[in-house]
Amino acid sequence: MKVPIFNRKRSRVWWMLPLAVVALFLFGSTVAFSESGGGHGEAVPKGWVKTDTYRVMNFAVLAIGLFLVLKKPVSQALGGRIQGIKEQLDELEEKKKAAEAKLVEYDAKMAALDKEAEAMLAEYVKQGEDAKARILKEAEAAAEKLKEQASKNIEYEFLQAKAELKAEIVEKALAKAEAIIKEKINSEDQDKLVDEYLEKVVA
Amino acid sequence: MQAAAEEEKEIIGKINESAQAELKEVKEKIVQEMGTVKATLEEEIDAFADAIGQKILGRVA
Repeated sequence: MKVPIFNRKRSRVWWMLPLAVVALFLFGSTVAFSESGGGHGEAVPKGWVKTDTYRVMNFAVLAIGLFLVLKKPVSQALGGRIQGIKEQLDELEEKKKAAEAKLVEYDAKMAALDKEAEAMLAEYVKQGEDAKARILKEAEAAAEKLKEQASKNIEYEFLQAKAELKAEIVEKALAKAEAIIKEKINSEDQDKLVDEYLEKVVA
Repeated sequence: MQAAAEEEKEIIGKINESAQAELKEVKEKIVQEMGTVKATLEEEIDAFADAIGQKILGRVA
């Protein structure tokens, strides 16, 4: 940041200012002192005296001299200061605009981040829903397999029980038939059976 | 994902439990019906035996 009051040119003016003030003060004081008679052994006058007029004139000369001497450097210094402040204000305005632009940029980035976060969240939710649907489908398939297996088990149990029952009844019927045949068979039946057997063997 | 896996386990467990219960019930029903059928068939064993004897001997035993 450039501050004109600290320039070399300006600092030269500021060096000259105190010198000019001191010179004018000394000149004015000398004149006033000579006009007042040196101030040795005289009584202090009352009211407006001639020396007061000289003093006023002295002050006026001093003020005019100071005004003339200081007018240009002071105006330059103040102008420089004003210019510096203007430049500072311009610079601050530019910084403010840059900061506002950055703010707008970051707002846009934040909005984009929010959108991105929402999109990611939606994607994760969708993936979760898909996974859930897939898992539930697999569970239904597994359940269906279980049902099929249970149905097969039931069918197997039924067939096995049926076969066992059939075998048991046949065994019992055969035993009873054997007993009946043993009881009621005669020699004619035996001959007939032998003949039938031989016919089958020959055939 | 974990919730879905737990739900899957729960569903399979429920269906498995239901299938086991159904299997047990059907087994009991089969045993019961087999008992009835067995009783009926045992009543007819004499007839079966007579039929076998008749077939073997070629006459009413």
